[in-house]
Amino acid sequence: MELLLTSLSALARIDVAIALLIGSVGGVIIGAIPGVGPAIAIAILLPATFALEPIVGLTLLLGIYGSSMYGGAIPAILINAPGTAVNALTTYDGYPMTKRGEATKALSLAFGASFCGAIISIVALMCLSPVLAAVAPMFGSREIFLAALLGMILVVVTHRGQALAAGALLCFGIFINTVGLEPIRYTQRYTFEQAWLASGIDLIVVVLGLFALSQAFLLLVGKDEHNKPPALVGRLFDGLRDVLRLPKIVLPSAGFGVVMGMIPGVGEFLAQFFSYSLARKTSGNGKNFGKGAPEGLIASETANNAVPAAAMIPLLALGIPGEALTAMMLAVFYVHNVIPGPQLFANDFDFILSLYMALLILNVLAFAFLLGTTKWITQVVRIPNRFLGMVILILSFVGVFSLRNSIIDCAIAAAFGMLGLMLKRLNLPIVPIILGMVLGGIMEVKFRTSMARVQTPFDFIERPVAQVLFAIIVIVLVAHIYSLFRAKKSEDLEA
Amino acid sequence: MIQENEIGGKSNRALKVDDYFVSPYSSALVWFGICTFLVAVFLASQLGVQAKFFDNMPLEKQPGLWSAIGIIGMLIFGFFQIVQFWFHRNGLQAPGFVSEALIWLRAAEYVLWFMAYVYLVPVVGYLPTTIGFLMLMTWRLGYRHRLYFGFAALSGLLIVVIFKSFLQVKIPGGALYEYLPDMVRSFAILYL
Repeated sequence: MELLLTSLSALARIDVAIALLIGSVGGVIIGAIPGVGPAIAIAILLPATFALEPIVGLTLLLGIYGSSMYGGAIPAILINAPGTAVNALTTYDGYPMTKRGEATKALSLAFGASFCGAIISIVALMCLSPVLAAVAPMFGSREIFLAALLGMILVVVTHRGQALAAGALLCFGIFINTVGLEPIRYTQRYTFEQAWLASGIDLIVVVLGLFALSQAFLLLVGKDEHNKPPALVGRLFDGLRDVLRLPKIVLPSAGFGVVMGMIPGVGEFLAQFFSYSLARKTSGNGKNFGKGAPEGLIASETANNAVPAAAMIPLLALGIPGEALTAMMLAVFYVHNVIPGPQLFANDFDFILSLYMALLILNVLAFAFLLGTTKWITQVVRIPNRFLGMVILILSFVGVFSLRNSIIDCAIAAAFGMLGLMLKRLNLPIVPIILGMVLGGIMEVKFRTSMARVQTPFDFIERPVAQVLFAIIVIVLVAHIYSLFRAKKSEDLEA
Repeated sequence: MIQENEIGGKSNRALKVDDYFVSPYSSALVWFGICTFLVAVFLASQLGVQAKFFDNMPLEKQPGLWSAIGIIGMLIFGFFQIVQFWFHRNGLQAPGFVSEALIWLRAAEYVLWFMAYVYLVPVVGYLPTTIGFLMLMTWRLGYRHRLYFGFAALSGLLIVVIFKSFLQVKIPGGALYEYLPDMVRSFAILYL
């Protein structure tokens, strides 16, 4: 109880309150604009948060991360264009409901489901935190190395049908991270005698290029869409009551969100997918899924909003980000010399609880904000795409240039922006590059420190946690190979 | 925009994860795969020169180890990707390489806009450059209504006020601010 009060008192500050408000409200609005999404907003805001205290900066970014999915449901339901990538499944049942004249009901269900998913996830993780605090110290260098390796493998295998491209891009990320002066013998790696490459390629520059600039370019070369959202009639609060009447859909969906969120490299999409598929089988209304079934909408929205809180677990407990957004947040920790990992759980548990309390509050704020303002927020979908692209282009400058006032950083970001544009146009994944950079860096350091105490390869997995991680890696690889084999077999049968 | 619920709805077949991840094989994708593989081959040819390996040094301390892991991974995955392209060569779909490359080239114009903006901010100043660029780009993108120019100017002003005046991000004052009267100059350098 005392710990809870301490963590709450850390939030009882005007700067944290402002960050919570801006993060939650800003996240909703950003999420509601198709073509923007939280990754771009976080990438742009990241350098600006370096001047803020960790709790303030992280609250702001968490606010955007957590509340953007609420906003993302708005265009998904009203105009069949998901505001964020993870709202894709929301369109399946949300938009048919709008076409039936039930837009308000669909939105209220989506907001209610998102709210339930987030709250269940946060409460579950707060209850789970003491266990995590006990387990986290069991992770030494070897275990963190294996966990990062597992994250990398999961990133590759979860990109079904694109595993080869994801693998190549992940390795490209590992390579980029090595460019510059190395810390052991101070030799240069792949700098081609260029002084500007000696300090390496900054993660934030790459992130801004791949996420923000690429999206700006993509919007600028595209066409404007003239979206006209339908008028909303009725109350938005009723959805929460309807959602609470469907615990058989809500609880498993939130469970998927929590579990998938905790596994590095898996994330919102698969959580949403599995919960949607399960709801389709168990709801008794499966035949209407994809035609405007409220249960489908509830399942997908509950699952995707349960992920953000859970995704913070590998980051906070092990210092391993599971996806791009938490990888960006890792930069905030590093800038303030707060090293996430087992020590953070052991020494600053109140800080962890503060973050969870902040997540709880910002979900309440986002939900309340939406209940009162959705009718006006829907109008953001009218902003022309190319106009939006132009603003993102100008905003990206702030993120890159403010890092170290370097024109070269801007040029590098522009180059990665072009690469990101190509990848997006070809429907190839971007996230593996970011995770390759972050996890590659972690693995390099942890491999070096752990090898000092390793005589034979078996020493690497002599401890129980390392053995479990190694077993999971083997199981994931075997399962992936088996699924490939099965897919090939069914392909042959179809042919 | 997503097409009419083709996966979950009309066809009424089971939802598959692959429906979301598998991208159609296009000749643009094949060329992209080949080019990135060639880049990996070039980087591999520089191993040992651009990333050093020392004699009598444990593997984990070799400076070139992780560069090599990254590059070898790119080569292996890239090679199998090309093999996969080869098996799917008969099912290539649009877009073709040329039409796709033209879109990439069109985007290159905005890279130039971005770099011009980057060069001009330290000279002209953040506020005038931002508003000027947004107005100019609004015109370039073909918007002619006064409302768009108004929104562009307002967006520029808000961006500068939020980031430089309020959040105090590190963006230097423009060199031209030096010519402003004393009273305004320091304010402009700090906040605009």
